[in-house]
Order: sequence, then C-alpha cells, then structure tokens
Amino acid sequence: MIPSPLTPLVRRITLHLADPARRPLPTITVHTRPTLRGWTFRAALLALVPLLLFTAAARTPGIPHSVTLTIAALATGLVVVHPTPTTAGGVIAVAAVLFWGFTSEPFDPWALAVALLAHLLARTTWWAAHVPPQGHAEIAALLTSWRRDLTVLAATALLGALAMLASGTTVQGAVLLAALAVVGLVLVALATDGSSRDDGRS
Amino acid sequence: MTVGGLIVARGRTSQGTPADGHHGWRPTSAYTAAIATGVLLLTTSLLAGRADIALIGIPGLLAATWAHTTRPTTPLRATLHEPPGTTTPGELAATLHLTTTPDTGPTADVIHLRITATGHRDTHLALTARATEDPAGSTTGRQVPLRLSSVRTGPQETFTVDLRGSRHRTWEEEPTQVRGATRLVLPGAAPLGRLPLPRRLRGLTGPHSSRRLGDGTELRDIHPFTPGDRLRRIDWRTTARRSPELDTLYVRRTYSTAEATAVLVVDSRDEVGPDIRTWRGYGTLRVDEPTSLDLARHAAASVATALVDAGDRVGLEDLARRRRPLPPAAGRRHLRRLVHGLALAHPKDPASLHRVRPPQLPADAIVYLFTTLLDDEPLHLVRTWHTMGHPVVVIDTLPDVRHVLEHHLAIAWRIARLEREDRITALDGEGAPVISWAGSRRDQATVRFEALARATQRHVPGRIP
Repeated sequence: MIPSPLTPLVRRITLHLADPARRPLPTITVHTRPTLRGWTFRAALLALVPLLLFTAAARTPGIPHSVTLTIAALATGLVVVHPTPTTAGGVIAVAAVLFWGFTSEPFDPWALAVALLAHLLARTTWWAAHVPPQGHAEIAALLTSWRRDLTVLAATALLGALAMLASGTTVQGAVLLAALAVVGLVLVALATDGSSRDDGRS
Repeated sequence: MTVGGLIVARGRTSQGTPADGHHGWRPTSAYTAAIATGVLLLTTSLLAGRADIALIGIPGLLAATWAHTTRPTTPLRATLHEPPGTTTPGELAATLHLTTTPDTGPTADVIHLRITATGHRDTHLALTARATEDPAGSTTGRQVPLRLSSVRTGPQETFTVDLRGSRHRTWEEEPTQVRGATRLVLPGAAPLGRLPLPRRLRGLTGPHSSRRLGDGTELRDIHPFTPGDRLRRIDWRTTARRSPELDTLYVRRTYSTAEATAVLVVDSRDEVGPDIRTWRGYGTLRVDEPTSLDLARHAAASVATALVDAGDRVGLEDLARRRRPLPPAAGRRHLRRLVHGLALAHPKDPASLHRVRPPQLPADAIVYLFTTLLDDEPLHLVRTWHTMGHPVVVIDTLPDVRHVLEHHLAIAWRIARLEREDRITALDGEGAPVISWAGSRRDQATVRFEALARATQRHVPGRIP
C-alpha cells in the first residue's frame, strides 16, 4: 500500500484526539440540593427570545415575516452570546416596538402574554448572566422569589384589566397626568445613593 | 479621599470595610435595565396613545421598584471548616459554612460561589441561602461539603472560595473570599506480606530468631551442661533418658531472638509524572495521577508499616537532604514520624544540581531504595552499599509513562528508557533486585517481596551465620 501524504497528518490528528493528557481537569465535588446546569438557561433563552418576538409580532398587521425572522435571529444570537440585563431590556423594547407596529389599535389583551414572556426573559437572562454554562444553579435558588413574581404578574394583570376598561373612555388631561407620573417615577426610581454595578460580573 | 475623617480608597476604608456603611450592597445593572426599559415603554405608550405597550414593561418595573425598597443590610458570612491535622489521599475535604442572619435585617437570598483549587476545574454554583435545619429543629446555617479529587501526597493547597450574595436580583454584595489552609496529605500504606531482611540480625531481643545461641524459643540442640548454662535450661527428661545416673546433665539450647534494621532511602531529588512534557519543568502535573514521589512515598510507607508491624527497626534517609535523617527505631510512634517525614520529602533543586553522597547506614542494615532510576546516581549508591556489605532492594517508582506526540520528546524518552533498562539489568546482575511499584505491577510487588524474603531466609550450607 502506497502511503498517502495525508497519512502522517491523519495519524497525528488521531493521536491528538486520543491523547489522555489533554482530558479535562478533575472537578471539585460539592454536595448541594438538586441543580440545573448553567447551559440550560442559555438553551431556554434560545427558545424564549424568538417566542417573545413572534408573540409580539403575531397580532400586528403589516410586518413581513422575513423581517420578524431576521430580528428574532439577531436578538436570539445577541442574548445567548451576551446574556446581560441590558440586552434583555433591549430585546423587550424591540418586542414592544413589534407589538406596537406604529399602529393605533385599541387596547390588545395579547399584551399580557407579551408581558409575561418579557418578565420570563428578564429572569432567565439574569440567571444566564450569573451562572456560566458549566456551572450549576440549585432549583431551590431559582424558586426563591416565586411568590414575589406571582404577585407582580397579578398586579400587572390587574393594571391591564383597568387599562382595558378605561380604553374606551376619554378623560381630559389624562395624558398630562400620565406624563407627570412617568417623570415622577423616573425621579423616584433612579434617585439611588450608590452607583449601579455592571452586569454582576465582578 | 477622606470621608468623615477616614481615608477611603475605592469605596473602602483602610480597615477594608465599606465606606458607605452598607456592607457593600449595591443595586445591580438588572435594576437599572428594568427601570430604563419600563420608563421607555411607558413613555412610548404615552406618545403612541396605547396603554398595552406600557403593560409589557410593567412587571420588570414593579419587581425592580419593590425590591429596591428593602435594601439588605446584613452581610453574608462564610467560613471554611477543615478537619484538623493531617489527612490521607482522596480525603481532602472541607465544609463551607454560610451564615445569613435574617433576624438582624434583610440579607441575601441567593449565594453565588466560585470554588477553585489547584489542578481542578473552577466550580460555579448558585445556591439558595435558606438555612438547613438539623434534626433538633434549630437553624444551623447553610453547610456545603466540598471534596477534592487529588490523589497527591505531601503539602497540598486546598480550596479558595469567592462568594457573593444577591437579593431579589436587584441587590448584590461585594465579593468576598475565604481560603483553606495548606494541608499535609500523608501517604497511605498498602498491605505487604513478608519482606526481605538483612543477612545478620542485631540485638538480643526482637521478633526474629538469629543464628546465635541465646534466650529464645526456637530449639537449636540438646547439649551437655557446661559452665555458664542456666539451671532452668536443664532438660530433665532428656537427662533421665540419656544419663540415668545423673553423671551428665543436658540442657536445651535455643537460638537467641533479634531484630532487623532497615533503612528507607527515598530519592526525592526529582518528581516526575506520567506526562513527559512536564518533565522539563513546564506545565502542571495533574492532581489525579500520582507522581514518582507520590509512588515513592506510598511504597516507603507500605514497607515501613510492614517492617514496624513485624517489630523491626526502620530508619529514613532523604537523598535531597532537606530534612535530617531519622535513625532506625521501632514502634507505632516512630512509624508516624516516618510517614510524616515521607510526606515532607520534596525536591528542592533540579536533580542534576545534587551531588549525592551515600548516606551513612547502621551496620548490617538492609537498604530499601525508592528511585526512578533516571540517572546513574542510584547505581553508584547501590554499588557503594554492596561494597560495604549491605543488601539493597530497589523499588522503581517511575509512573507508567504515556506516549507523546512530539517527535523529539519521543526520541528522548526512547533513549532514557533504554538507559533505564540498562541500569535495571545491571542492578539485577549485581544482586540488587528491582521491584516496580507503578500501575498494575504494584500488585506483583507483594509476590516479589515474598519471594525475596524466602530467598534471604534460605539456609545456605557452609555459611557461617
């Protein structure tokens, strides 16, 4: 048999792949409660981001499917590769724009589903930012504030119901009142006594 | 800068405490992002006249604002509890105690850990801060048992834990660090059978029968009474049978008891692993594979345990001479001293810089030399000891070397291996058996030791004891 010029290369690659010295380092054994692997958060983001964007765009007429698909692909890639609260906030804003569609529709209860998915996306992104793919997170830690989240979502649903009831009526000066409320909220919320940290990665 | 008369640098005082008195708790960027997104969507909904757009940002805005109202004040405390004293291979463990005291104020609900250890992968964990309760019902804080996968012996670095608490994903604490102490891992001992002993035994007491007459249990012969024989040694039955008139008394003569002296010589001038690439001093030895020094420690501890259990005297010499030699002695306390000395044997300089002089040995001692046989020094030592009449058993402690891809290293190892085989052949030819302690050949070591013990105990006709 005539040796091929690729034979030494193939042999080297085979030996390289079979080299036991290149196996990963041993792990530290830690006894914890049941955990989830860190990569599951990114896998969840892989499904959550398109779901949020497609849900937001589903009820808006006039958006080409290719545009939604492109935005979803870009946003998913960005959030999965760089899962930070900022990127998650950006994706939520994009979802809101898709939901809006620059149209003047009446109140759409579909917004509640979008709000639920947006909240879920923010939570999952926070976990993905704090647990690397090879890390672990206890399931009990994921569920530490489920009561608080349920309360927030219930309050959101209540607000949505009130907004839907009020959507058919016209109140004089409501826009000015709402604008003042937004400005007041900004002042209250951002008047912190300390500088905010980065995305949690020291 | 100074705040309230205290010098503050990077938000901390000279004592390391947070200058703002809030134990390092800061709002996270998740809080800022939630607020910014919520306000943006509220403004958009206002401009567009659509309340449903604002609804999308409401959950994040509500959750962030709610969480921001309860600023945590209690710091997360962590301590690493390690068993005191020494340990054995595979038993490098500790318990991380995480203490959050919610009674004194809001504190962390999730704890982020990064656990690092030399030679191990970093471990990232996110744990709930909820304390565990013991069977009595009292809160004991969160306890996280940790264990390393290291099989190495000697002084070993243990855990470094970086940790940070967070609360409601809105507050995060400044990271803190706890470190474990350097632990001394003592070598374990494998059970061995009989071991070869020196040709001449010393002393008047001990577990062995010497070739000399004296007090003992092993019968040598029946002999007529001579001046100097003790009266209690008279065998009256034999005397009555052989000399009914009692004109000659017969005594039972026995071999005296004695003890053997062995000296363990550990060649700790170098420490090599199964990967040739690390032999040049570059790269890191894996902690889940024993090195030549680990094998030497294990083999020496096994031999020392077997000899001390048999009642013999054992000494220790270190060719790197970092520690004073341990003179031969017997007993469990001396065995602990030996094992401790073995664990502390460590190369100081490259082996080539050492000028090895044969250690001084007690007369009639057998030498157990633990070496990798990678240079000619062990061969010279064995020849010197043979000249002085000491029997030598060489234990080869080189690990099973793995195949390497680099051509020049493969050639270098081939040459080194051939030279090693020449040395082993020369040692065998000069009457110094070589017993391998690496890999699967360790199981055969017990059989080899037994065979050598039988060979040395065989009575050679005509030999004067």
